[in-house]
Amino acid sequence: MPYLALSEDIPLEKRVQSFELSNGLKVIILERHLSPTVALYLTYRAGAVDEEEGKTGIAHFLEHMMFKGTKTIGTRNYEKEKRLLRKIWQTGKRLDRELKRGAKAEQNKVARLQEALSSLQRQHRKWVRSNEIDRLYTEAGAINVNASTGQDLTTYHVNLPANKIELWARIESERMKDTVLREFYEERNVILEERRQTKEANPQGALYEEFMSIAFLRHPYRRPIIGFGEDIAHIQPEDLLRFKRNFYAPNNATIAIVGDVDAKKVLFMVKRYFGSLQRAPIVRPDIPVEPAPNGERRLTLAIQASPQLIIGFHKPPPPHPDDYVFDLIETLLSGGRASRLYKKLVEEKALAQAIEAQNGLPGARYNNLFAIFARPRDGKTNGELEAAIYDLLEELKSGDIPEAELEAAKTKLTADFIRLQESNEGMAHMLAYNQAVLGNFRYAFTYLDRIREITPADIRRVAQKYLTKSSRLVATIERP
Amino acid sequence: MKLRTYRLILTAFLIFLTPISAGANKIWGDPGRLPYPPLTFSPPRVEKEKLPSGTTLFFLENHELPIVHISIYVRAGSMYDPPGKEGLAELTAQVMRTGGARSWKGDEVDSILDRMAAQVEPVSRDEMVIWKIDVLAKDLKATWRIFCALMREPNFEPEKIKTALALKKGELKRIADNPQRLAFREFQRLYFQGNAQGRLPKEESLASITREDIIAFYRRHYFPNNLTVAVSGDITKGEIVSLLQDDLLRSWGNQPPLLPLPPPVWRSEKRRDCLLKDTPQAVVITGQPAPAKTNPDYYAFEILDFILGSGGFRSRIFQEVRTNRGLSYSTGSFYRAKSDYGLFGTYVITQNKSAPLAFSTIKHILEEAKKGIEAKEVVRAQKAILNSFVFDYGTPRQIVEREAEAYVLGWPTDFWPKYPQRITQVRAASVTEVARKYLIPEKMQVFILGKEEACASFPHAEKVKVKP
Repeated sequence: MPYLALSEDIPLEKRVQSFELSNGLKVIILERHLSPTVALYLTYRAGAVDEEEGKTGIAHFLEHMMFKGTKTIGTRNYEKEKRLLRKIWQTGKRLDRELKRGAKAEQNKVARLQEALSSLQRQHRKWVRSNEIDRLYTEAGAINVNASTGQDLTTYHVNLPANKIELWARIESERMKDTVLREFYEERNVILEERRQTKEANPQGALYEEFMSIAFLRHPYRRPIIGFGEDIAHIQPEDLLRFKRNFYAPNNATIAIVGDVDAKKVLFMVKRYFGSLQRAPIVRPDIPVEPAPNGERRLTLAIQASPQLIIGFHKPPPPHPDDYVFDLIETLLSGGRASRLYKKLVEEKALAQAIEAQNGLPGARYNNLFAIFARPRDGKTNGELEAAIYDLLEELKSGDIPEAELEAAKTKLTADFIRLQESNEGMAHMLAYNQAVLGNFRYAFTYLDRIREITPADIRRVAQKYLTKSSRLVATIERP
Repeated sequence: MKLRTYRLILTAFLIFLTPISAGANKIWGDPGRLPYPPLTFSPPRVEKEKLPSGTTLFFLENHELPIVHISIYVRAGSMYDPPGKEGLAELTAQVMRTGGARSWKGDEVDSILDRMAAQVEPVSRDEMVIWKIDVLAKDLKATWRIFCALMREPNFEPEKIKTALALKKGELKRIADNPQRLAFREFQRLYFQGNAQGRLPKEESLASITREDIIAFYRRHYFPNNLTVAVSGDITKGEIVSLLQDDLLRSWGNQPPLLPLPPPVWRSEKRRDCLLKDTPQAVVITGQPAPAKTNPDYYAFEILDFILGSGGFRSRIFQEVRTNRGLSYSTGSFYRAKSDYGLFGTYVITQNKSAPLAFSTIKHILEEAKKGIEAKEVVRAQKAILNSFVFDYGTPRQIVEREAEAYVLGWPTDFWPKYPQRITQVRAASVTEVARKYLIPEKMQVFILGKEEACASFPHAEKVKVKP
């Protein structure tokens, strides 16, 4: 019988097992014998928010470099490589220093250093098995081999055929300990291209970045995860190594394994590979507290692109009770065709081309935002749309939400939760995320109970408290 | 309180599970040679049944979660848009969904479905429209009643037609904001010029669509014989058959079958087109004819495409253009094989000034492939493709939809059952052979989007203009 039912009688939360190794590594396992596959998530509680000022982009850069291999994976001769890598880094740094002088840079010197760097890179390539981690995973039949960097976390994930978990343990345990920063300067250029593609050539990405810069004035959430172009261009290997030493340790990591596994066996394997990794003192930079906005803040990006806008409001992160209310408000406003923003502004008033509310940006370790993203219809302006959005937000403050509408939103969150459980990946992501951010993977299991308790009065109170004119943050794109 | 419980549980486990602490620096063996236990798996069988009305049903029961998924494939995709009325197929589906049905107003339909968190949405593609129903099992009957009304008695409220048209127009206008989307769209339009696949909606074509056109399109395409249904989840065969026969299909007359559309005719001359756009990055896309799904060369070409640019970081284009040269974040190849034609292409997004270098690097990679593909590269691709095959059986929904889609697209019935074996049988020599046979520079069409500087670096590139 390939499709064993998920023993419906046992609630999900009782089937999730959790462990902590003596080095502090948290391991969450959910056996699910749906198909012979497994989703594997490894999450570090370290993201862009943990970077120092002036060194933005390190967390994301490191995530790219984690695919470059280790001392035993990706090399033909590590000792030979080591010598060349040192030279490459020295040369790269000298080149950066010269380029930093801008107009004063000596062109001859730049050319000479560039030539020297390329020559070293060519020599180095002879000793490298490039992209070996991806090759190993891909050949094993992995899908969705990837990683993501957020403000709060960095996550490495892969889906493997269930018989190949050991490959994951072998790779991930070793790269937690000693990633080798191969192809560093080439990858820096790739990241600069990534930034161009996702921010500079993309109006939506550009607006989001500008929006965050006014939404937070002191807190690092104001900075882009990918980093500022100027910062990225000057990141050096040591910066990445320092960040990694500081945060990539078992006591700062959570593993979630969901799929066709035997929990006992897989835990034994995790201990065998990860058990010997050493704890590290996790030292975080001082993160300034964001003062509450004392007046509306606005910004307009004048570029050749269709108008759009983002409106945001500060609020507390989960598990604060008001955060649950915001999840429900998000659903009431834009969770479906009958939701308020869609029905009123897209259909009835024909003011919006697209509109969406989102709770919880850009992270959840610190106070975050409730935001509305909107695009006016052709021929309508940001101003008209913005005013209409405020009218709808005022309705949340003045009257009670009809019971049926509130019920519909709660049903939607319930259905979303069930749908999330359909894939191993969805479950693994949720478990790892809640553990890493909130320190409690069980957050999800009581989530719906908390949602069900919310009353129309809660919605009104929360709307009145947070969705105020004096704390509004607005960024728009207007054609110049 | 909750956190305390959590800690107690952890402590309890720790008593039994103190990790074996070994030396600080364990060195493990070659990760490429780890021994794996065999993977035993017999995928569940999908039931297939042709109903008396002509509708074909694919079914897989699974009661793990209280959810039902229904996908209804209708040969009513954009390829059937009448010339000059591009956008009609998509619009028809949209307004069937939003424009009310039977005695329900469109807005009522939205409210009723939202109240049950039931998703009923059409997804428009070139060959077909797929109606996706995703609903909690307890709400299936109520959802189904509405869905049947949408299918059988749509009202096409004029107000909703207006909204759908305006939204589509707005969407087209905004494509220009996104260089990648714009580039791929224009590539499609130019590559398939003169064919159904190249006729894309424009402001003009949308303006000419009337309510009568929508009704006529609906009548011509929505009938039992033109539907294929894929069902999975918390439902029995008896239940779905009764829902189909007694509600959806009852006394619904058939139309003459739709004739298959002819495969595209290629522009014979080698062309380079450039679209000027003031953007920090150029997008360069190439395309050329490749084997159809029914062509015996398909399997070797699938492996060739994997090796060239779609097989992860190690594929040749990614490795050279991104990893080694740092020229791009997004680069690689794509291979779209249909039952009667195929298209192979490459893409790179890079700074305007790097566009010629990135392009010549890719061209060189394609030429190199013709000199001979090594057996070891082929074996790697085969391993990857075959080992990941199990993910096609990840959920009941995937299994049943994959079979239904192959059926609608007219792939041979043994396509999936024989697929692993046919991939295994491919030899390096045949991969080299298909490289030589299909990667013909004279047949390569090139599309560039970027600044003047990027366009100028492609000799003979013709400037094209875009109207939304």
